[in-house]
Amino acid sequence: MFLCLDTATSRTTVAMVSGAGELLAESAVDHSDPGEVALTQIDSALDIANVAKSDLAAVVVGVGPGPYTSTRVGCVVAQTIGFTLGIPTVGACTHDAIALQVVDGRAHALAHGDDWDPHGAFIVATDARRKEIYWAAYDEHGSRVRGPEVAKPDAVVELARDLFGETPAVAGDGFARYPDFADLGQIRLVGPKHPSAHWLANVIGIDNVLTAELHSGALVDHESNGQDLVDLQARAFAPYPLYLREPDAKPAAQPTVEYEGRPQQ
Amino acid sequence: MADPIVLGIESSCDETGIGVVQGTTLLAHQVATSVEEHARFGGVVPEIASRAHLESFVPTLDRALAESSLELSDIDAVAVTGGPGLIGALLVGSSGAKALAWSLDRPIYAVNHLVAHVTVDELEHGRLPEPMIALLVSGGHTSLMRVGNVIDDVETVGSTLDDAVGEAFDKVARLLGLPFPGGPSIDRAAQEGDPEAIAFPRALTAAKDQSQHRFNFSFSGLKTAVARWVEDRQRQGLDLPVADVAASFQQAAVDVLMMKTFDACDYFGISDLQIGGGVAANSALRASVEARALAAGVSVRIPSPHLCTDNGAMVAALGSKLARAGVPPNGLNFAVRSSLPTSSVVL
Ligand SMILES: [Zn+2]
Repeated sequence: MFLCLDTATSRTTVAMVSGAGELLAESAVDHSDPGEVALTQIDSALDIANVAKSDLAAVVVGVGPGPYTSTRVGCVVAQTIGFTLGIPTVGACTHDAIALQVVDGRAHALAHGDDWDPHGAFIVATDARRKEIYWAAYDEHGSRVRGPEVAKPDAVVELARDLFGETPAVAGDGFARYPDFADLGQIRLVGPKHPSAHWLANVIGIDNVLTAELHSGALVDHESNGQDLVDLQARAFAPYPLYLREPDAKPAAQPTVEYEGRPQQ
Repeated sequence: MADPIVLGIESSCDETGIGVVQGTTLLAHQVATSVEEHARFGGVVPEIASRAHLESFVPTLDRALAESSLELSDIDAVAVTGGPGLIGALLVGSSGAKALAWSLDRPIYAVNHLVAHVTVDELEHGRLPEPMIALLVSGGHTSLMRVGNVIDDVETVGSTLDDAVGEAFDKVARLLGLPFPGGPSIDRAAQEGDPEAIAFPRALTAAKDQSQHRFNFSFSGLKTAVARWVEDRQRQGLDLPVADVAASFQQAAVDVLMMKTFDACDYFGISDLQIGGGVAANSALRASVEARALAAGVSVRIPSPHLCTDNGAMVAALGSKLARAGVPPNGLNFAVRSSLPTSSVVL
């Protein structure tokens, strides 16, 4: 039984997936602070799946790229559960999970005779704040061919065009703040907007989750912060955020203490 | 029944601390610090601190358990700093703490960092006197508190209006070309200097400040005064008497802290004083507090330096106190708070 968790977007998503790949429970909560909701979601996912903590065999966590503070929450939760229950913790790229959803949705649409470009390569883009976007490019099978990287939205569109030609298909919420690109027909938005946690296990491969660390051989060195270290072949990552930017080197103002204002003589 | 075993987690600034306490007995005390990574910036960089917390969290937990010779299942409750502090840093510790509490099916207490600083002394010097005045001085705090008891009666009666005192030490150290953190380096440099060489200002100690700011502090003016003095000196092409500047600055800061602290003891009629936080290790402060305490008939308690700086044992100590008092724990969905008044001992 695998516990899957992703906090690398504005949505906190949790899933329970059986060793046979069966989805037993899944939840998604839109909340600015995953620290407030994640454990409650995890607790109810176990309840719904009707499994005990001792049944868990591994934790799979989305390592982004995404806002660092919220991505870190998922990573520390996953690592701590893994440590406490004595089971492995493995990271998967959040964009890879969205990409698998795109491919699955396309297969589903085609099976139902819907109109969907059957050949399409596509990109996954998520909000990187600071007027930038995290993005990665995928072939029609959902294999990552570039990224993840961070760039301005117009640069992302340019790069995607270079890769795939006019009007690239885009999944994820990366362009939600920039509706003009879709409105002017420069990109084509396809679903989904957010990751669903159970796809994280599929990214690594259900059969590989327990041996993922041995299997990937390409764990990202989380201390080096370099995007050039994101290995295109890597499917399994160490359970640390994919840091694509250097930290802002501005010292903090002191943490504040609210003064309670005792009336004085 | 034996006292509960409480594991405490601290991550409000640049220290990842995990401690284990049973009753008032310290069983483990492990701290990982990212202070060196901040040194070149002259202050704590939040993103660097948060990254370091994540990297240190599980290893520090592992070391604390090893030190205590306990199994995870022996832990009866988890306590964690809920605020005040850097929000991104607090989130790493609190989320890890929630995951730990959930995995072990144990209650969790999200506690006030400042009150934890006060409570830690119980691990070393026994039961806290009630009531007492507590002065908390560090790179992040300058607070004067009246403590009826640490469970539900802590009142901040004064705090800094601008820089924390330790922050002023950092900034002055930078001006003088001394290494970060400024507290120990100023203290060292001041040993050779004359504390009366330069008359730096004692802010908010004038008669006109008594009504509004009797117990409040301000250190940004002092820092600016030092900067001006240094500039003047350089403009005149004179050598900088680093030791004298350090000693005079330090004395000015300590004088204000001590004046107000003993005034608070007097005002509230309280004769027990506790001093905590990293600046409590300052030698001028220690000398001054001893002299004044003797004159004022106040008894003073100062925890050892390793318990004065941020650590998990202090959080465990407060958690232990709350658990023994039967205070209801928090749920798993509490929100950490970067600002948290001491009137909230528990979130
Ligand atoms: Zn502190």
